[in-house]
Amino acid sequence: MGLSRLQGVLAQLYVDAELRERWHTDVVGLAKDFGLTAEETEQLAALSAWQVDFFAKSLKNKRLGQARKLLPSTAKVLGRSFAREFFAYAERPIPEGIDKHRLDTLRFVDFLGRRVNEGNDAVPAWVADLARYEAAWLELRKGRSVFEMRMFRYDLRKPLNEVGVTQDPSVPLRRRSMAFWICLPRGRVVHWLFPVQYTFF
Amino acid sequence: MDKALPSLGVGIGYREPILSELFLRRGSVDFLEIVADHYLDAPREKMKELELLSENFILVPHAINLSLGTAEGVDEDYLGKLAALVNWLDPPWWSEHIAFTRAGGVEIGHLSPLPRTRQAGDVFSRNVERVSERIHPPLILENITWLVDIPGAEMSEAQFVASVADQTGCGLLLDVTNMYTNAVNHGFDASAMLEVLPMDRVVQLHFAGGHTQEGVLIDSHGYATPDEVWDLMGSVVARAPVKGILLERDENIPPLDALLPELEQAREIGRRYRRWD
Ligand SMILES: [Fe+2]
Repeated sequence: MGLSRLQGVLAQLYVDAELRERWHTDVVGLAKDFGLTAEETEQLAALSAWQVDFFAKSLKNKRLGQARKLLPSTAKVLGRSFAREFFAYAERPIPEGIDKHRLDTLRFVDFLGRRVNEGNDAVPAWVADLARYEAAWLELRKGRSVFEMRMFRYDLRKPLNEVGVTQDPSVPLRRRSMAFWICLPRGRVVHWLFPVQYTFF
Repeated sequence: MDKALPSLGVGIGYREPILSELFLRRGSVDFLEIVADHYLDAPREKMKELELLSENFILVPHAINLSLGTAEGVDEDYLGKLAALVNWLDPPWWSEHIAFTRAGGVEIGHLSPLPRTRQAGDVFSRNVERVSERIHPPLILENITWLVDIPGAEMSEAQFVASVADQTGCGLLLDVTNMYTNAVNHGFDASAMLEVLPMDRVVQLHFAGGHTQEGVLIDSHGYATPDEVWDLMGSVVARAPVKGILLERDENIPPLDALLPELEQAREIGRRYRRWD
């Protein structure tokens, strides 16, 4: 088999759930779409389904582990739902590049926001805010930006204080809050999080 | 492979949580392996950390995403950044894996096994040749764990690793935990690999402990090293001119003190076979 063609198909099989489904049910059709020869099709069909599925699952688990590390408070508050939501998101392949896990996590934060906007109640709206709050720290830690500003629908101060001590922080007040981050020399960051009393935005 | 590589002793893979303890236990750690990818495109703070480490320890860069097995060739952008880092650190050697991590514009996100064929070996050695034009310190190659057995293999895992080492002229980073893991998952005898692998090319070892999930042994680097791996390590060190043995710990990272007995055990194995004092 042409090695680059084989590797291309394998890479997609490992990361793309839809393609894997197709491979399970219609390997000949799939091979045709990839322009594989008869011999190559046979090779694709001879792959062990459980090995490929297990590997694909472990790739998603690895991404989940990284996201958990990068969004510790969100992961704590969502508990088991964190993994369920992440797996729903992770049907899409991981972004490319050196910084892929951070990018992956930032995209997952966007996904959580979309879940809320779609009215999906598996993710409480304030937790999507919390995830955006943690995402801002990720942007800063990369050292690219020196200033970040975020608006939130909820007052995040209370859950952020509580998350260190309890897995189940109380639902915060639905009152807008705002956060600023400014990077100073030697890696120091000044940070404010405060409720917005008046709507001036 | 350069025969004059220095003997480093026993080391540990650097992870942020053990930074301050490392300085307190400097006498117990002869060298550190740093994940090169963490320092490509890194913020200034991260590079300062690297400078601090390099002033106090011998550092060996370990790359994970060069994808030396990709038929389309290595990513020149990644290579450029990696070359700048490795050449700047000027380590005794650096390492990458016998694997591919991307193909056809898709990032797999993990080390994936190559088909064990001559063609894959040719591609690999062509890529290594390109890389050595840019990166000056010697490269050593690590065996990975694999679950997916790609149909059409022309040789065993040990034969493939041996032929890649032969074709590229590189030394080997033998991960004894990976050998054991593959042997368990695919039902072969890990020590039989030693009959086939070119032991004179082994420069460094990795060891760690994993866990079992759904009947599959996973190299999670999160648990104590099992007895079988210690035995295998002994057999390798008895036969190979090992210059360094390194513990990898990525999950359940305890205080460094809790890992020192494993480093001591590895040091003792090296001493027993006079690999160092
Ligand atoms: Fe390893």
